[in-house]
Amino acid sequence: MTDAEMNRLMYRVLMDAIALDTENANRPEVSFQPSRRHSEQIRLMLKNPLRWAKNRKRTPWQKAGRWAAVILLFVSLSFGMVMLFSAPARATVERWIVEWYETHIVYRYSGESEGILPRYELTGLPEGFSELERIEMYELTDVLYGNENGELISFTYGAMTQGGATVFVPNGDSVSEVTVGKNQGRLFVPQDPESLTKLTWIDDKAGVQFTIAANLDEPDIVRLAETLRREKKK
Amino acid sequence: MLSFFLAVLESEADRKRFAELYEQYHGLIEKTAIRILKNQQDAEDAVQNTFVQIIRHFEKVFEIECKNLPFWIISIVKNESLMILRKKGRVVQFEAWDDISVEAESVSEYNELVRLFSKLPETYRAALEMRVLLDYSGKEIAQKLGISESAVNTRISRGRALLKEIVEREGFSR
Repeated sequence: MTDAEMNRLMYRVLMDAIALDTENANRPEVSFQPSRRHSEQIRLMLKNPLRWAKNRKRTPWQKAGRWAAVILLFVSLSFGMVMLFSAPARATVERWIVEWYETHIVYRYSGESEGILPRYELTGLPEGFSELERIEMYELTDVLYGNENGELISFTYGAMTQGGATVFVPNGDSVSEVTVGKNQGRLFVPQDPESLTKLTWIDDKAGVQFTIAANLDEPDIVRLAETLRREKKK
Repeated sequence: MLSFFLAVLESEADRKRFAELYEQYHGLIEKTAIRILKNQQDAEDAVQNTFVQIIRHFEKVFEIECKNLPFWIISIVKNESLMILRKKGRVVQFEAWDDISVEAESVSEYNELVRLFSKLPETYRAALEMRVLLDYSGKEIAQKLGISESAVNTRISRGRALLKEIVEREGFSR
């Protein structure tokens, strides 16, 4: 038997083995119930398969710039590296401190838990954006907004409770202080125009830290942050 | 890097064919993914990854015999699902090749040959399917299975050697 004949036989045997599996397969224990996010992805895929597939090749972290804001809540952090700034350089406030390391910046919290996190939203989204996904955990919420072109805005907020921390990896970003409403914040502007700008700010009164990652310039991302609204309890 | 996308799905006719293929097979893909993963979010990821692979290899849709097309698609969704399981550490890969070698000695009919290949250890079968059915490169298979390229080659060589041994002994020519 030649190699080509062997390849054809292998192809046939593998196909027939899958057919055999299919014949013997049980019904799934659970049914497939597509989420809104999945349905939206399928709609975008059918509209333009090539563009969708190219966009899909990028991980959600790449798409939303979430690589920069690694949320590590309720874990005990122990960094075995030398701090660049000594203790007096830390910005010590009631329930949080900022620690600067060579490669990352840590917001470490010490507040009391106030129970389930309120629901927040950004009401001044750029035209065409809508909420695609909202993952609500006990003291951390992750919201993803998107538009028809597959562009995304990531919005994350978490309670500043004892034992929690948020870590930012600037990775060459230009870091500056900004004000969001009456609150202090920090802006991370990337050198690479393809990367996303990140803005984080703290509402001391609410005990919540907010972070936005979006392809917006400084005035626009600050303006977006200032459209933050807390949903009233029903 | 993404040049493989450029040659396919540019024409309106290709897009129409893709939409038809979606209508025809999305139920099968979803059912296969949820059966393997038993988790909606993971199944959605597997379904979307499957369509990325179908788009990437769209020219094969026209090459594969119609009766084989659903099995080619199942091969993709199955391997994408197993990759998700592997990443989440929810699959234990037993490499019991010796049992297969022993069982191969009693194969005398084509149906038994097929049954034997359906029972190959998962990484062996996945490596063979990805190479023979899906035309993935050794590097790509290695990434998907989380093993080295040489381990991929070992699995494919063993699978081919097994088939060759049985064929030479029993004279299958199908």
